Amino acid sequence: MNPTLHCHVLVVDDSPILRSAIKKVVKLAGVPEDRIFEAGNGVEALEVLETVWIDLVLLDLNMPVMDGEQFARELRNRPDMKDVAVVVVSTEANRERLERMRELGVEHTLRKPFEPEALCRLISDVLGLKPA
Amino acid sequence: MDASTLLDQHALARLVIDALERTAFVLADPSPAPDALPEADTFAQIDFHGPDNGRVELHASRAFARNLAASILGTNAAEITDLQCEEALRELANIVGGSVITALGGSDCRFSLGLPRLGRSPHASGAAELDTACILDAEGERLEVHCHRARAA
Repeated sequence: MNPTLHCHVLVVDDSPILRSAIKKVVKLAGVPEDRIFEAGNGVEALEVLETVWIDLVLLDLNMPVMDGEQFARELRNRPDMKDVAVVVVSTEANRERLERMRELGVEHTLRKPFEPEALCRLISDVLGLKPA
Repeated sequence: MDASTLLDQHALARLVIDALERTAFVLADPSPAPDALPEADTFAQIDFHGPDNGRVELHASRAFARNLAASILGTNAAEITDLQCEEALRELANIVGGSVITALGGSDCRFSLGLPRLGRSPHASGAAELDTACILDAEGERLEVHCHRARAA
């Protein structure tokens, strides 16, 4: 059985249109629609995480209210959330910032613009390692 | 100024064309006849900061923004709202901004982006600014991309 079917994914991006596009790719990777959640910034993302178990966060960095780096830092400070897998999907190119994200436990980074197939493969690779 | 900080019209056009294809499967080419394209009436921009400060502006026809949104969402253009048009162009400004700072900064990129926003800023070109622009024909619609850079002191 495809292990991704049992996984919950959170898409965090301040662009509603890009959240919709990423959600489509997540569905293509095999995650059912009712297991895909979304948030427009880090604060909203933490609210989702407080109510739903999430296996993977697809995280933009440049967002208002709480950006992706602040969110990742907050995530690592919470014992019940610190092991959630995080993949950055962002236009960010600043070398030092990306290094800080790696130090915060970000497993992979996918730069925008990305090909949907590349994101699909990455999601499958990350979730495929998770036990059903 | 080394090669990694140069961004001419052709390089700018190539990275925008790449962004359109990857993000939305929208095809575009440098326009041989910009006057024949619809006028731009939708604008988005994003600032960048680092060794140089600057701004990337997108000027587009509304139909381009509508087609872009429809392609990103995989729906019919007739179903796209004005808000979605603006969202799509705003996100494209974000993506193009990221590609620009990667081209400018190379592997040791020290640039960072602001948040994309709608609208255009009044621009007074002066001796201290570097301006690069391209006009693309995106499936019959206009997309202009302007990159303004303040020359580092």
